[in-house]
Amino acid sequence: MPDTAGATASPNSPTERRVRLASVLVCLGLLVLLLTLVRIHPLAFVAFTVIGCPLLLAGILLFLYSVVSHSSQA
Amino acid sequence: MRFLSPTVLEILFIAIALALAALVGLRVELTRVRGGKILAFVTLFILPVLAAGLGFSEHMERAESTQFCLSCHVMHDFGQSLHVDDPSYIPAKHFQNNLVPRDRACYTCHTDYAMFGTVHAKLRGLRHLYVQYLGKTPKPEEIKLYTPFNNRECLHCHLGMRVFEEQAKHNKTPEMMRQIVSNQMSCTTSKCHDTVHDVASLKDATFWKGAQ
Repeated sequence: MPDTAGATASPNSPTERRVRLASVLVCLGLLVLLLTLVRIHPLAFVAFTVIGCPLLLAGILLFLYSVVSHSSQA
Repeated sequence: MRFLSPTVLEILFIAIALALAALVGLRVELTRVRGGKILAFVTLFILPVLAAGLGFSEHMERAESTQFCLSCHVMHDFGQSLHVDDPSYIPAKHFQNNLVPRDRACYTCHTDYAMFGTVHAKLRGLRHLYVQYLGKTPKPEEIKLYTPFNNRECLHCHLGMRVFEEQAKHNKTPEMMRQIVSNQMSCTTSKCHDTVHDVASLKDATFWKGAQ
């Protein structure tokens, strides 16, 4: 049985779209992180800090924003 | 269970986090129920934060490895100097006799053994990355230390060693050991151990094959 907050979310609601986009960003960030651990090279470190970390951060922030915006709508 | 090294565990952890994040993205309707919300919070907040922390720690650790330092082309000659068949080359003598860990040969001598030495070394490393990829890379023989090599880095290991403290060369005068310890007499620039990497003379050097 869905809880009260869950009942407000409809298919393709803005919240779900944000969560989906957040998961895509987090997945890409984690993928970059995985790939950078394959080789010991300065470029791997650069890719981690310049590409991987911003993707992860963007995904986390978008997810937190979707949680906050969903709570305020409910 | 030797294959379960910390790196393998980290990669496994990140792979699991990736799979869970993909699950939430593909089945976003899961988040309509309480359990799905908790799953989303764990996979899109807690696990990515932990993964980024683990990744950062792993990269910091790797940045201390000899392989990492020597992977820049400009460092090639410095790596070669570790294999010179001449014990007067201080880095070669230390590397070939395991007086420094071979997998951390550069970092062992080129970090400051002071409170923020590791932080300073990492910040210098970031500057090196900038120069390597975005700046003008100098020739190997033009590369100089930021500051004169401090005896503290040598004494971190050598101080207290019987073979070091009892050696006649280090006790030519009663004051000599005190001057060495206080860095008034440099180990590397007082005509004692002044052949360090000396990359300009590598053309004429012979190399020890045993450490390949």
